[in-house]
This record gives sequence, structure tokens and C-alpha cells, in this order.
Amino acid sequence: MNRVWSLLFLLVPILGTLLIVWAIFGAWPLAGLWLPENVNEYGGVIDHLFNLILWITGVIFIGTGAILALTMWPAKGGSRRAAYVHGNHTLEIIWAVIPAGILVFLSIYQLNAWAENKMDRPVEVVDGEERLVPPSVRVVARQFDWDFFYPGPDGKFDTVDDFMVTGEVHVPKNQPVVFQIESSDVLHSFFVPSLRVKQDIVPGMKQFVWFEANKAGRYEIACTELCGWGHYKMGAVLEVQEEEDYAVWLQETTAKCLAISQSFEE
Amino acid sequence: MRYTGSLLLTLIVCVAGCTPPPEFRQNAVEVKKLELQTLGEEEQFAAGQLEDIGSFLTAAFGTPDEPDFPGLVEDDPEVNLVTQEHLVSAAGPVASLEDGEAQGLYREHCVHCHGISGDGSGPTSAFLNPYPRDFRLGKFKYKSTPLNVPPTQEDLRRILKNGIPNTAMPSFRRLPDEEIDALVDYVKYLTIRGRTERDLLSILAEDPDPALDFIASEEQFEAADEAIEAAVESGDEEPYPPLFGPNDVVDEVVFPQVDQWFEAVDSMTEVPQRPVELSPGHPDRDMWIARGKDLFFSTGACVQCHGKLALGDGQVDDYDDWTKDWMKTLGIDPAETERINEFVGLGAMPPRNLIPRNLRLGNYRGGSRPVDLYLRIKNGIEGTPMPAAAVSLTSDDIWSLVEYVRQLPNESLSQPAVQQPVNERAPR
Repeated sequence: MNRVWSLLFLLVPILGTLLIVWAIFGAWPLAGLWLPENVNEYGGVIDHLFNLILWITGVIFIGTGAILALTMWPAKGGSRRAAYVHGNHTLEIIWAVIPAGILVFLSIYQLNAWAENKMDRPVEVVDGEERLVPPSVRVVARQFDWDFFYPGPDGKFDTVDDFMVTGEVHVPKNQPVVFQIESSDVLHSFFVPSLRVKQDIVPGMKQFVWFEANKAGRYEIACTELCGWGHYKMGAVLEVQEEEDYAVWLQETTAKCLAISQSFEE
Repeated sequence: MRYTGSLLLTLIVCVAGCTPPPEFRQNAVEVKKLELQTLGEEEQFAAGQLEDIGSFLTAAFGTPDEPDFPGLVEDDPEVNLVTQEHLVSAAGPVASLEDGEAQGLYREHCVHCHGISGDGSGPTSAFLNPYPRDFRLGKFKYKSTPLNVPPTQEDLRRILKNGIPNTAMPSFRRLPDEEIDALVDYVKYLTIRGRTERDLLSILAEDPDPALDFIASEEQFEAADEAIEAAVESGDEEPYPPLFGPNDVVDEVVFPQVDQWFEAVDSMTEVPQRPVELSPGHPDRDMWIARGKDLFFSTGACVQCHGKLALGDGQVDDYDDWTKDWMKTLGIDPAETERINEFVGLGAMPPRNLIPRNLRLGNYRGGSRPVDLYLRIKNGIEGTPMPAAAVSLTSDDIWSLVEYVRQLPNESLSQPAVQQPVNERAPR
């Protein structure tokens, strides 16, 4: 009977690993469950950290599963009675110090990733002077939609030629883009899986996120902070376009959103 | 093992499906209102006559699972206001066909607020402010047509695509155009069905004689004709003729509405070009905006509701037409809790004051394009106390008002303090 239990416990690391590998390859029925392809120049560090942590936890997961199964496997030549063990200082110190060491290592190792994604906003050179890339879009989250405000022809926010598009935002390819994000009501979180960008939004605060998309396409934006009954359908589309296409889109959208006349005779 | 039998039964019932197919709900609020108006307390319309209306509606418009539309002949949008194809993909339970085409779109996206009958009292409606729209009154707020004219196809599409900012109506931009059109058709379908029900009830209320056969079926109609002829020949007392055959109802009640929807596009309000003086950066712009401000306080009378500071704090104790429809018509005081609750029990939403828009937030429910604001001021907002602009206001006046209103959110008075971002810092 002991062998059965031992093998059953061994199934946990085996099935767990299988499931993850299956999802990574995206075979049916687990297609689309793994992270989508990264299209953000700055997203590589996030993926690297993610994979590193996955490897560390994966090895520990498989190792502990195997050890558990091994200790349950009956000894050769007869049944062994269970023994009651009370404490083992050396062991306890080992399993406290090793994870602590890993945590300390990770927290130091990731410092640059945090800085690149949350602190060092991209810089551009205008008229020979360095300055931070200004936000090109103001993202305002509300229950249960994403509104994208554009500064309009004058390039400045909070002027009369600002305009707003709900549910869809366009950005140019291969350019550093900065979004200023705010909430108009409750807590939300701005998440673009394909860009590896995620930022919680607190009402009354504004935050900046930045990215540089390197592949044209339509990507999903989701809210990842439970914000009310409609949270599940609070989404939008991020469309990355070639620079020329983006310029055309911006021009058309500006004209449409700032329409100052309408004639219905066709 | 005592419960095996009942457990088995429960299982069978659940597997077989516990819920009966949904049905359109009778407009009980309208029935009660008309009964109080025309018959007096405690009196009711004859059950048979209400049944006549119910069975006519089912015959003409079908059920939520199998919708139909009078005069639906071919699947041609030029001929039909709504197409069979759109009705089928919008109605019924949520499903997707083998080729990936969606079905039950209304129940997937809309029903939890707008309700199965389009009465705006779905399960989530009670938590929302403003309440979801009750389509049956046939009034639409944000459209490019004047008051009392239905919105155009494009108006409804725009609302579905953009949502209504600052309300619970979300954007459905991610749905394919075909699905948006299907939902637009279903909204028209629910609206016309609801209006037809209301119109029939009003006709009934004009002459609520229980002896009358209100809407006869074709066979009954012919039989009644023969009976009258026989009575005339034999000199007996003539029986009452039925008021209506189903075809009469379609001709006299449904089709005029369909025509209105078709013709809406012809009555769209034209928006003349904004005067160049009002374009940003023009030296005269400030002068023109000052004129808009004057109008805000004088001829435009905006100040009465939107308040001196445009915070929407002028008049705050009015109601929208969906509430006034029964509450004001019957002269019920909002403080009469018992009478209010009677109507709430019948499906009305608890009355709530309609607060004028705070113009300093930059939230424009009907759309934020300058032309949207022009249309709101020019035509007013149907179903609300927002009136159409006075005739004496020229298009230049209205454009001045629009631009005055559009710059309000950018005045320093309107800008709330926002904590500076923690990740704002100078380049290194």
C-alpha cells in the first residue's frame, strides 16, 4: 500500500511539470494560457526575471516532490514502522536560510528591472537638450472602461483641443511611448500582457508607464484589480502601428473627434 | 438511502433544464397607470382584453427566444427596418454556431441591465445611477435628430461603440461591426414592441368597454362579420364588432413607427461649420466665448439648471420622463411611499432626482465632439428637462455656448489637486 501512496505523491511534480510544459507549447486545450509573445523592448527583463523565478521554484517543486515520494517508498525487505521525530535544528536552519538567501538574491538582482520599468522614464533629445519623454496619452480608468485622452493638435493636455477615445488606443512602433494613467473612481490596474506592463491605479494619483513596442498588431488591455461588478469586461485594445499608419490614424481620429460641422446631405 | 429518490429527481430536473424559456413581461406600470386614470381605484381592464394585447404582441413580435417582426419578408435591410438575421443573432440564449457566429448577444451583453423586455429593470439595474434605459417609452437621449424623432442607425451604433461616459453603459468597441448592428436592430425591435404595447393600452383606455372584443383573430374577425350580417338580415340586435383585427394593428400602430425610424435619417439636424473666430488661437476667440458666457446666464437660461458655477447645482429636484411618465401623470408625490412602492412593485424604478450635468468635469455622456455638444444644446436631450435651444439663438450663438462650455473643465476652478506622481523625476 505504501508504494501506491508514494507513487501518487510522485504524480504531483510529474503532472505539474507536464501541465506547465504543455501550456508553454500552447497545445490544445491549453492554447493561449501562457504569457503571449513579448513585444516590448523593455519587457525582456521582466521575462528574464519571470523565467528565473520559474526555474528556481520549478527545481524546488520537483525536488521536494521527489524527496517526499522517496521517503514514503518502503525500505527493502519488510515494512518499516513510522517513527515520531521531534524537531531538527540543523534542518530547520537550512530550510529557513536557503529561501531567505534566494529572496535576498532576487531582491538585489531585480533592482535594475524595477528601475528600468518604474523609475527611469525614457529620455529624448529635443533642441540639443535632454528631457523626459512626455506622456502622449492620458489613460483614465473608470467603471468599466478605459478612456484615452489625446492632447490634440497643440500637443498639450488640458486645453480645449484635447479629445478622447474610449476602448482603443493606438501607438507607433519602435518609439518610446509614455502613458499617464489615472482613475476617475476606484482602484484599477492597467495591464498589457503582451508588453509585460502592469500598473495599479489609485484614485487621486497619477502614474507613468512606458514601453517601446516592436511589433505591429492589436493587443489586449485588461483591468487586473477587482473594481466592481463589471470588472470582468473592463478591457480595451492597444493597437501598435507602423509610424506612417499611426500618423494617418492620428490625423483621421483628430478630425473625427474634433468635428466642428456636420452636413447630412450626401 | 431515504433521499436517493429525491436526489435522482433533482438531478433529472437539472439535467433536463430547470428554467422555462423567458417571456416578455407585461408593461404592468402602464396598465396600472391607465386603469387609475380612466377607470378609477380598484377597477381593472377586462382580463380578456389585456390577453388580446398579449397574444397580438406574441403573434407579431414572437418571444425572446424566437423573435419576429411584422412585415419581415425578405432579408433586405433596404426593405426591413430590422433583419431576421440580426434578430436571430441578438435574441435567444447565449451560444455560438459551428462557424463561430455568435448568438444570444443581447443576453450576453445587455440583459443584466436592460432586462429581457427592454424595460431597463434587469437584475443589476437597481445598483446603477443613472438607471439603465427603458426602451419601451421610445425616447432616446443622444442622437442627431430633433426631439420626438427616433435616432438614426449611426447614432445607436456610436452609443454602443463609445459607451456613455460617466454611466454604467460600457463601450462595445471590441465587438465586430456585424454584432453591433445586430444589437442595434434588437434595440429597435424592443423599442417598437414596447411602444406598440403602450399605444394599444392607450387605445384600450379610450374605450375600455369590457364587452368589446379588443383585437380579434382573423377567424374571429370573419365570424363577427358574418354574425353582424346575419343580425342585420334577421333584424336582431347587432352584436358589437371587434375593434381591431391583427392586420389593422400592424397597419395603424406598428407601421407608422417603422416609417418614423426609416425617415429619421432625413430629419437629422444639420450642424453648420463653427465660426473661424472660435477656432483655438484666433484673436477674437475670447470675445466670442465671453458672448457664450453671457448667453449661458441670459437667453440660453442654462444657469437655471446648471447653476452659476456650471456645477450642475441649479435646479436639482426634477425627474426624467421615464419617472414622470407615471409619477407626475398620476400626481403622486415622491413622499407618498406606499403609492410609490406599489409602482416599484410593478416594475418601475424607485424615483430619483435627475441632477443636471456638472459641466466642469469634461464628461459628456452624449459624446465629446464639438458637434455632439452643439446637437445637445440645439435639440435638447429627449426625456430630460434639458430643452431645445430657444429659436432666437442663432447657430453662432450656439457655437459660442459650445465653446464656452468646452473650456470650462480647463479653468483653474475646475482642476482638482492631484498628487504628483512618485515616479516623476529629472533625467539622469
